[in-house]
Amino acid sequence: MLHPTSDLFNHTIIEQDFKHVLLKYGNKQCFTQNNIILSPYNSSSHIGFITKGVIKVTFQASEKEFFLFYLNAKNNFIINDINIMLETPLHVSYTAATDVKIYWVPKSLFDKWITDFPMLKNLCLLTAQANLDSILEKLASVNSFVLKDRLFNFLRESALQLETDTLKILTKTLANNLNSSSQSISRALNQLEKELKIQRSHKKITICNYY
Amino acid sequence: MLNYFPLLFPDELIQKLTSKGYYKYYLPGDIILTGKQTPDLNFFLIDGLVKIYLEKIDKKFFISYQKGHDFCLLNSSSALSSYAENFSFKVIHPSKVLILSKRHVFDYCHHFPSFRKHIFDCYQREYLMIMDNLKNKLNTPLLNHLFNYLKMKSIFLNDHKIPYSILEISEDLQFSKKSISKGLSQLEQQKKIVRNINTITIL
Repeated sequence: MLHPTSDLFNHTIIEQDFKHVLLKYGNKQCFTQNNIILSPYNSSSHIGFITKGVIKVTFQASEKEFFLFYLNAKNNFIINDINIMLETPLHVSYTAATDVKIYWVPKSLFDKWITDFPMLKNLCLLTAQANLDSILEKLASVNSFVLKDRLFNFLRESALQLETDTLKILTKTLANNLNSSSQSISRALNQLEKELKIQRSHKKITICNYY
Repeated sequence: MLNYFPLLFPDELIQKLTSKGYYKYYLPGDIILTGKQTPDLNFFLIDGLVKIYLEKIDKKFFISYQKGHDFCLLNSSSALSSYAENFSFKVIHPSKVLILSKRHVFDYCHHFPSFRKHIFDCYQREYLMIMDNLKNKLNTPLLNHLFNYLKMKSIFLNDHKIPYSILEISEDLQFSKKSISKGLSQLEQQKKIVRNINTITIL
């Protein structure tokens, strides 16, 4: 049963009727941290509504998982929003960054809801726009920013999304997500530590001045 | 006039598009739309050729070309929103554009399924183009990136022999002029291109 205080259901601009139909027709699925929710090879014919947790969206490039953006139950909660409009699958993976709860609805039903619930249509457009914007930002930063700055932006974004100042993350994962090598990431982490932007202890990174 | 529009568009829609929209002609070098603008208008490229740039972090990044066919919506990612435009469009060949207010586009999306599908197709094309570009940037060494860039230009200009400037390539690919010059020499050694004074021939 969907918890009535979950984030999505506290969204003030979501119509009450929509909350009822999602409860009635949605298929609930729970994932634990690091579970793959969707990969390019098992793309879904369903649209997912995140009611709890945070999802990391990555893009496969040269056997690495390049980080694109986060989805969360608070303000960016529609999974597969890209594919709402697209017929060609993208090489995008969705991984649970925390424990996650999702309600899935078939695309055909979603198409009807878009007409029935005008606010849902607006939210979809806003979410799609925000995600596209994140992708464009990453595309621009690959060429413009040095690795150290891209790394710090990624750490800060992750900390904000996961609502913690301390991240448990491996150098290898960072290298994967930023399309770099472990050695370069280690060097960049050392630089950030010298600049007092982060502190490192065993497999943990703390963002300084997080609050 | 009617042959500009996709075959599936009903006559009623075509009449509305032509009566509510207006045509504008652009010359090579003109900018149709720049990033950071928040226009209340949508731009459908009917004829010609434009170069698409992403404008972010106070820089311009070359993305691709777009030919004027299929009634292509240029600013499809912001077609139905009031977000600032992310792209700018520089005219390469004389171009003809149908300009229509976003309010009308929104309205026709609601009333004409074929129009809605067309807008989503344009959006899809733009999304795929961006993801392709990202993949290229992440995967491809400069030499391949440079050759792909030249090939793309040759395809869109419909000619094996293309005009080039090292400055333009360096700005488009965000590499130094020195690296581009070195890359072109390597491509020539590999017999992939032949350079003349102002042109490159793709072999």
